[in-house]
Amino acid sequence: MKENKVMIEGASARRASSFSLSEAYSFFGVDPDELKQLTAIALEKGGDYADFYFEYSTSDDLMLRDGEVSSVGSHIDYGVGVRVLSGEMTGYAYAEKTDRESIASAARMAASIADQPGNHYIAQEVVLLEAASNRYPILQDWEAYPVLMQKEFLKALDETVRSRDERIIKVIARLSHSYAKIFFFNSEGVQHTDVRPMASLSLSCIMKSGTRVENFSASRSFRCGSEFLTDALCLELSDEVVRGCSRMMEAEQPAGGAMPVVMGAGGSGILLHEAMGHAFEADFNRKGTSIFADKMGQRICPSGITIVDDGTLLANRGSVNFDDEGVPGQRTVMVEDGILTSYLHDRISARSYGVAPTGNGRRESFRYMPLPRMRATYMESGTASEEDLIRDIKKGIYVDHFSNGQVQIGVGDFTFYVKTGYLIENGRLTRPIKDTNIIGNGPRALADMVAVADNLKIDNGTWTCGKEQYCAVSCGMPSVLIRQLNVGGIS
Amino acid sequence: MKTNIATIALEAALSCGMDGARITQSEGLQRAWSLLSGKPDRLQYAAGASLSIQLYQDGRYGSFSTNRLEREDVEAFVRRAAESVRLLTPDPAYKMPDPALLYRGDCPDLGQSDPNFDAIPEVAKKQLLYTAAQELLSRPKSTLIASEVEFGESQESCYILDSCGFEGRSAQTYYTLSAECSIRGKDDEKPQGWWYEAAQFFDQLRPEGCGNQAWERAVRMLDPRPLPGGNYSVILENTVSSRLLSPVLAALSGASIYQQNSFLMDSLDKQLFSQHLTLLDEPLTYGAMGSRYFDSEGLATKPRQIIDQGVVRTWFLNTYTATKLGMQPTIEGISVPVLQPFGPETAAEMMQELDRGVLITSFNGGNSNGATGDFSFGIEGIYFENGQPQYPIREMNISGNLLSLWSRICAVGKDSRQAARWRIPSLAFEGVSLQ
Repeated sequence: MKENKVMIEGASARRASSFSLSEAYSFFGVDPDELKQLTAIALEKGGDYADFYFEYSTSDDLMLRDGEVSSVGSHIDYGVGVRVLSGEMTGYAYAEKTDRESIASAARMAASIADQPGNHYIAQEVVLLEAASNRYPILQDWEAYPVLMQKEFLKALDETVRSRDERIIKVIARLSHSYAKIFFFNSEGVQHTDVRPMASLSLSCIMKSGTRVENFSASRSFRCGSEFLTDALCLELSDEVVRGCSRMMEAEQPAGGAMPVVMGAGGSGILLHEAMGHAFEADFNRKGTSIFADKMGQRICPSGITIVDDGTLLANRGSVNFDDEGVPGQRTVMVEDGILTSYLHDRISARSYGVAPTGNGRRESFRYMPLPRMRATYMESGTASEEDLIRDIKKGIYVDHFSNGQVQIGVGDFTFYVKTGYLIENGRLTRPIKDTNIIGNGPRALADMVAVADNLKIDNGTWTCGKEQYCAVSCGMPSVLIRQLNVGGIS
Repeated sequence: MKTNIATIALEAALSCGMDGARITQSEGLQRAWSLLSGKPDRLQYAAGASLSIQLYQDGRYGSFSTNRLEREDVEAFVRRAAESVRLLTPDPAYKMPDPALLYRGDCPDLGQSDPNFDAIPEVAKKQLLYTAAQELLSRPKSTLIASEVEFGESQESCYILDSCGFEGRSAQTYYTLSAECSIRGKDDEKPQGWWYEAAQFFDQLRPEGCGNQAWERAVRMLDPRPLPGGNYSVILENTVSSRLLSPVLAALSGASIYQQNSFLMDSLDKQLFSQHLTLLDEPLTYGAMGSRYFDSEGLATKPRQIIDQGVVRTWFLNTYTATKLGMQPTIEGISVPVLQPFGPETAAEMMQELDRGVLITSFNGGNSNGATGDFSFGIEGIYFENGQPQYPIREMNISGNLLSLWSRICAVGKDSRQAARWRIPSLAFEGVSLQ
């Protein structure tokens, strides 16, 4: 095996939306026989499973500030991660070169998690996994939308935002697009390739009136090509930040305390991600540290509520043709009609539970071992209208823009930070509110979901989960009334 | 570190017509071992190298990185990078730093790197791991659900070379030992406790007590009670006190100020905080985590007053943000923050002094608004009365405005943790909204 010579790609280089097996062998400088030999090295200390995750990724970005596009970035990352499992133990190492000796060295490091030296590996017939369908086709390459056109798009975005409100004093926009070629091989003989695009646009504006200054941000992110950049996107995002910032200018931090909360459709899916999703990730349950560790098959929320983690949505930021350990992407129903039906599994937890992995073994890059991670997490629509949810509330809040969240997995306490929302007074949305943290308890919040509207919306912002490593995800929700959560605010 | 690839990249940049360039070559090695309930769970090994390349051409700027470090790859990468820079619109604020402000020295030892990093036997590292694990495994099995301990070590080096003639090197080593446990609580609850130790030198890492601290921190959160919302005195334990300082430092950054996105706009030389509050940057402190001679642009560090008796004295300005503001650059960010102590010296003494309030031991989410200083964070902690701990509280938020909060500071302790990246001691504030 020779040191391969990868031609460096940049923003202007051609990027195919397919990556055949023969291209992968050539690109990473490997072949099946050598991979079997490397697998034997990885398992020479007694490990019972090994996989190799080859990745080449490029990302490019443009930044607009002060009305001009004056900075650019481009980044390349290349390498292979080697994982060895011995029972539920994991050895992990990576190499930034894919010549035989570099991979073998990483394989020996990962192998040492096991302690029963000997030749345990019987090479398996190599099987190529084909994706059921490509969940992220590139309809238009970035070559067709070069940097000068991207600059014009950002300039138009800037002008559109500034034209909406004379109080706007600053606009910041960042366009980024990335592209990863993946090749996966494991000791069971499974191999596959994947091409993963991502396009993201973040927009912030700052408004000033008198001495008051506020900011607001919005973003969109999809696994797609340059078809991402449309006039509709420009208008939609501009409208969202200007309306959001205008609302912030009128808003105040609310008086805090326990009260009913209506979660608006869309980004409220952060509640599912923090309050339930993490607690359903099977590594926490395998260790017995999740508050939901003993709840499989039990009712955990009212009937009629179905919560899904889905890797199959077209062009969604969290979608995967395959997860990062060679398992086909799929749709996993975690809660069906109020009953906990499935955790989110990687290979380790699936083995521990004696079930099939659910395609949730994901990682930030070849530098990280895969873990059970969410994809697109959402609740199915109910039957009420959003007005039904608000009508009977005397005092509460309605929330629809968020920035971040967190959970304490063992006791189930979750939080999410509300950028803006409204007070609900006597069944009506009244004054805007801002900058409040909401805290609740997962099992109680699930039980307290007293009404679900018929307006499921997937939020396509740049959601990124930070469990040990970063991972692109998305979330969604119909409007939901929760009987009581604790709202941070002034006394 | 073989540094000729940085020279190759710099020469490639200049030959492509760039009028300024900075090359940062980084190398790193990380190893980690972890135990789950006393048994091996994970082994991780990582080693890598990369180039970060900043290019300047007549007010145009690009930032690039690659880990493909063969000469022909680097030269091709720089050529393409330069092509993309030329397509930009000039912004005169993008320029190389003033050479007079760059560090010019031979980087005497700052106590950042353990010379024995490669010589420490693996068995000695694993001994630390098992010591911490044993402290947890000796606890009652009827209460302990799971324990996780991890030992990690890293070695990182950095070489910066720029077209102004700046050349700088730095190296750090870092060792960590962490312990976490889950215990049986009320109903299905499984409170967790954690602790960590960290040091730049292996022989300074203390394993004793790491597991015990994790256990005790879990146990003290058993049987929480609700606390009525209202205004309370609060103490931020030294494990978490940096959480409410970091948004203040972010508001002092040039990037926030020039974008008019800071609640500390127009703050220089104004008394905005309590007169008891003095914050220094001591970047040349031997052995302190974060000590350095230069920042990522090569700007020389020096001791500075950031806030002097409540008066703001320094904004963090790099070349770009300083030019935008028409000011002189200072430094891109704080290196070693030091708060001057006043009042009771430890969290326990603060409880005695304040009589009644909440000791915050952990944050759970939350955020702050950089433009206004409004904040709201989830908290866990211990309610105290008559100076004594009473019961744990959780599922509460601390909210308010950062300027208002920091004007009500009533104690800065002397109990900062040596293991912390930022050695911020316990802090006490009066009249804070908890809901």
